Amino acid sequence: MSSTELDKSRATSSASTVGAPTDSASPATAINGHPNPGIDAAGTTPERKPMIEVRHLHRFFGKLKAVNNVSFTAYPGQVVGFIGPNGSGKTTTMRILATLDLPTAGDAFVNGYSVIDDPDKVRHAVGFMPDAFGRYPNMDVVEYLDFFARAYGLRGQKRLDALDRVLIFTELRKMAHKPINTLSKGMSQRLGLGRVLIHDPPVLILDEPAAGLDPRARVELRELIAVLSTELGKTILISSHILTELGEICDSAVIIEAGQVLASGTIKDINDKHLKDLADSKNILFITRVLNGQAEALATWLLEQPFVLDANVASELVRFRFEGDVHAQHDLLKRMINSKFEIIEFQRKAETLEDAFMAITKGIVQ
Amino acid sequence: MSTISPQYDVRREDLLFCAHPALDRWSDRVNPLLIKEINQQLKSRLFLMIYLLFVLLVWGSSLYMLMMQPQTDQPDFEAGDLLFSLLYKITIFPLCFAIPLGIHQRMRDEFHMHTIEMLTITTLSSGRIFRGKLMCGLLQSGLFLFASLPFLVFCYLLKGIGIVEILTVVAGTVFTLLCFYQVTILYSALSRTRIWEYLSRMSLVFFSTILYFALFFSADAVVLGGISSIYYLVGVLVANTPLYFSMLIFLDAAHEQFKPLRLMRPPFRVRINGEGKVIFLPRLLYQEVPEEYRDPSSNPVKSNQAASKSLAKAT
Repeated sequence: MSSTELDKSRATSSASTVGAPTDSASPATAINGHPNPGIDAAGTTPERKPMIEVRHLHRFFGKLKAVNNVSFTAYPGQVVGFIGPNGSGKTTTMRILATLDLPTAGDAFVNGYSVIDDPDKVRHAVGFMPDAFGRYPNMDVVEYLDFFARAYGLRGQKRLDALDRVLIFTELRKMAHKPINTLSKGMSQRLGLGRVLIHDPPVLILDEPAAGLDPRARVELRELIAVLSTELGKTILISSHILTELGEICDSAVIIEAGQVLASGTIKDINDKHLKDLADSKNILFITRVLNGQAEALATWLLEQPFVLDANVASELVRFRFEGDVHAQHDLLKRMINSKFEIIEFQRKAETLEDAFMAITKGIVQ
Repeated sequence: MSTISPQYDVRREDLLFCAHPALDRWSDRVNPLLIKEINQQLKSRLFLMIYLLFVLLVWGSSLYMLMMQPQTDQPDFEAGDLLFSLLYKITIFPLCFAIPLGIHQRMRDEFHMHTIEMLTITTLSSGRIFRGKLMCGLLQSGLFLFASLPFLVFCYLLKGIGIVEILTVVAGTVFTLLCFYQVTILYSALSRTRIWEYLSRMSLVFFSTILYFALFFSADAVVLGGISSIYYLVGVLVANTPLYFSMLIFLDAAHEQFKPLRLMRPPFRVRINGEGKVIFLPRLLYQEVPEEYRDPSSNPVKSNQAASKSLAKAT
């Protein structure tokens, strides 16, 4: 990645659709051995080797199975969300991928190199941003980046160029001489991202990068990540607890709990499967909006109707769970209107990645 | 003037060692950790205050000794040995206390702030990390010695001490400090819990005190007691034996530990296994892999891969 490329990327980032890499023109959206290898400039779909490949990964701490047979694959340009409750094994898996830990069994490959057999080559290919961002005292931004550029073996003009492009990309130029311990959380995360990018790795592993950020900083970080994946072709594995945000950034996700993968695939696949499960269970949440203070009356009325499990009122909204099929839904709506309720909205609650996550995970704590 | 980021006036000159292209090229050969730590030290108020205090003390003691001289009527008055003894006691104080404690603190911070993890995943080897820390300690010692150099020349001019004795004592001190700093770096990386950190700091102060007095009395023996320089140097080599021994244990344990596992470059951590043998472990892998999984044959995936490879070879 040249300086010019990064400059262009920054220039176009504001124009790019934030967190929307899942559209039809976005790069690879595949996981678990079903590669959709992405679309190149010519519009063809060439075969690509996976950038991250986790094979039957195990990591035990005594009797605790922190990671228990985890497998997944990520392809160039893909942003994979790594989702799971606290203690589910996300960070352990990420640390293994970053060569900070060794698996008990299984293996993981980054850019084709094993984290066990070729950790040095893996380090060249990976940029790891841990959740705890360590800051050195008595250092300013440019000195910090300069140190890591040297530590990654960049010499002479290459090092200065790397500093230049990272300062431009992360928009930290104005703060180049600010001590790093006086940076805000958002700026610190940018600096962390800059450190990760200094040696221009093709794979980025970001552990909770948006934790503790204010909404603006979160949106800005999301923009940067979108640029890195869509325009610079970086493969990004990102964990976060803010699932709505992951749903916007990622094209794929791996849901993990108690060290085991519960679901994986494209965000759309996971949501669709969840919706199908919901449809099968015939337990769907509906939202109805009524006028003239009829909400209470509607809720009472609903509770008398067949297939309605419960009904709650919130201002003009009535939420209720319904277990009937589509015909029963149609009948219910017809009866509602015939009963003179002034309905202005009737919709099935949109299912999000968060809903899918809540449905898939069981809240197991190891 | 070479500009890094023209729009915001970030210049090459703003980076230490980059003021001139030749210096910049030279700095590429310097250990990055050394550059970082020098950067940090130069901005550390504590270090600058200690250094300033040290310079004032050295100045003061030298002036005091010079003022003493005219008050004596003896034409062959020799105050060089006394001044050297006084200067030496002042000089080795920061070398024995401030620098080792600084090394301990910085190592502790590396682990607490998780910066050691970020260092580990760079392409810096553990050897370079270790050497960078050590060189920084030695460079700081060099700064203190450099500050006292003009006054050591005074000692020579005031007579009573020869240049050979001065050089012998300085060489013996630097060698002892080299050994002590190495062990301090390894020792500092042992701290795991707060209590252990506190104990390790206290014990470091204890060992520093012993070292201070050992250097103090041995130098006095040469300068004031008339022990020959050769005996002094032999004494230094012999007295440092426990330090070489400790280093050898660490290095041997490191070699034993890393050869079979082919692990990443380690930060430093030592533990004692069931047989009482010291094992050197990288801190980041301290959560040890259970014994049953350490043998590749019991690792199902690895053994499958090995079987597949041998099968492929055979066919």
